[in-house]
Amino acid sequence: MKKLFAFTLGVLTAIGGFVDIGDLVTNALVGARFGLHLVLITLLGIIGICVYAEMSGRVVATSGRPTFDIIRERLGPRTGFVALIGSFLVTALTLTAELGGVSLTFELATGLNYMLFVPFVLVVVWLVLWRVKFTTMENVFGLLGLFLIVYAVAVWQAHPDWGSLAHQVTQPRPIGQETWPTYWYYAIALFGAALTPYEVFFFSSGGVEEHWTRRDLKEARVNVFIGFPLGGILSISIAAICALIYLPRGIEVSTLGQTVLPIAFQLGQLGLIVVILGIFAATFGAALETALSAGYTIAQYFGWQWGKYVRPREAPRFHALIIFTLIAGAMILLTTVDPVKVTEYSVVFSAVALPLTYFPILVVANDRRYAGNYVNGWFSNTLGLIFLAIIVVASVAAIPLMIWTRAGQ
Amino acid sequence: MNDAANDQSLHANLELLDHQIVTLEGRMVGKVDDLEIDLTSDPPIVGAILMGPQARGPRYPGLLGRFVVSVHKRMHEDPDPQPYRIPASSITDITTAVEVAREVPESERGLGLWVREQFIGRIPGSSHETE
Repeated sequence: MKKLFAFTLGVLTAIGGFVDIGDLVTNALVGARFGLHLVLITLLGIIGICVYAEMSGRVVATSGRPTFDIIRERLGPRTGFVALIGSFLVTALTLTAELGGVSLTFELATGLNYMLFVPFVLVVVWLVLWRVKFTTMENVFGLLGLFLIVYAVAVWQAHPDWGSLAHQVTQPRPIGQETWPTYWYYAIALFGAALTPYEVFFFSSGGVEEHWTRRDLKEARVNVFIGFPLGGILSISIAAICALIYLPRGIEVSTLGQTVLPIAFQLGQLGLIVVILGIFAATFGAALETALSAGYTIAQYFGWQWGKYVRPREAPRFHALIIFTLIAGAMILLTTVDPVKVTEYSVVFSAVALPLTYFPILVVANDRRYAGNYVNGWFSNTLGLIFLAIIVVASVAAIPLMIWTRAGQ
Repeated sequence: MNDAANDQSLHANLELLDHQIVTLEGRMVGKVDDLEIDLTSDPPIVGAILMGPQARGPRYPGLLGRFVVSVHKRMHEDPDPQPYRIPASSITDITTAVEVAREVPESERGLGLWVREQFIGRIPGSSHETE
């Protein structure tokens, strides 16, 4: 019974923790502009994150080595350093976006300007990281994130023409005024949002924090293969409700408020409360994860003690890095930069940084010195290689497309 | 590498270099930033593992490498700092991490000590387990 409970809890947390500010904003924006014509890309991204999260989880359960250890071991200190700079900057940018997201949910709830909440959010995120146990933190925010299911409920309540939605999915091409370059630009953004590098840094380091062994492999796999796809359905629901409400009216999504309006429209006040709670949990949870990941990447590259499983004074540089990155993120927000714009750029730069993170995972998942008898089979390797190819193409194309399309305008 | 002939032999580049160094209690102390090879023995053996900026710096290309080495040298109390050396005899186990039977002195942990004493250690709750 206890075991079943742990399994269920794990899956629920994986579902609730799947969506972050990047998924929320990108899916809403794309839904409003392209309908469901880009959903196949989201599905592709979900399969991609499942493949690589499973690999990194398997490697950490069998060898105890989290992702950035592997990056340094396989790419060496030089290329590893390039990967470190790229990954750290993207993770810090994502953290900035998440902090902005949390502050914006306070603005939605109170009507006061979000910038008033930034210092408060900074302190609360830090306090949770300083004092709350890793597992508790994961469970609480993962479970609260399940409130985002209101997006699926709202789609169902809107009584859409399911046939027309399905037809849109099977027609992967730009519609109306949209062009192919903007289509591909947003495809890369969706892909980057689904496969953000911090997800594998956090997932694998979390395996060390929770002392995974081979015996935990099954649970980790269930979480990935059931939890992530179910979480992905939330992403697609966000795109679908925005496609139903905004697309016919020609309204573009440019604020976080616009991502909750369709819920208020369909489900009224109660729906609105639930969705704001859900977005709060999703962004707050992701702020914790990205702040930790900023510390994990640098500490793992240099070999410093890291982790919440030791007392803070035993991992001083790790905690100092977290504090430094949180303050930097808050300061970026206080420049009055638009958090939604920060989010849009963070997912595109995520796509740029992906290959140097995922390539070493694929190599090591085939190495018996790490994974023992749990090395990749032909199926994981085929999928791994296909996604590596897609990731490389997306990474190379991201910045030229960004300039060509003027960031999707 | 003829692994079959001698289980003491391993692929130094893949199995030692850049791997995590941990103490017997599982504390992470650094990375294998470089290796000291004893060429007098036949075949040559790894005499020690080296860690710290003085070992890692020279492995970076050009200006970056010289920068790391010279900044560390300028900031160090010793006018001619050497990489921290852990003799191969102190290695107790090599898995994906290198376990060593020795405590790395505080003075070799660079900024870590300073960060703990001046910053993190002063924040209330720094000696508590999380709840």
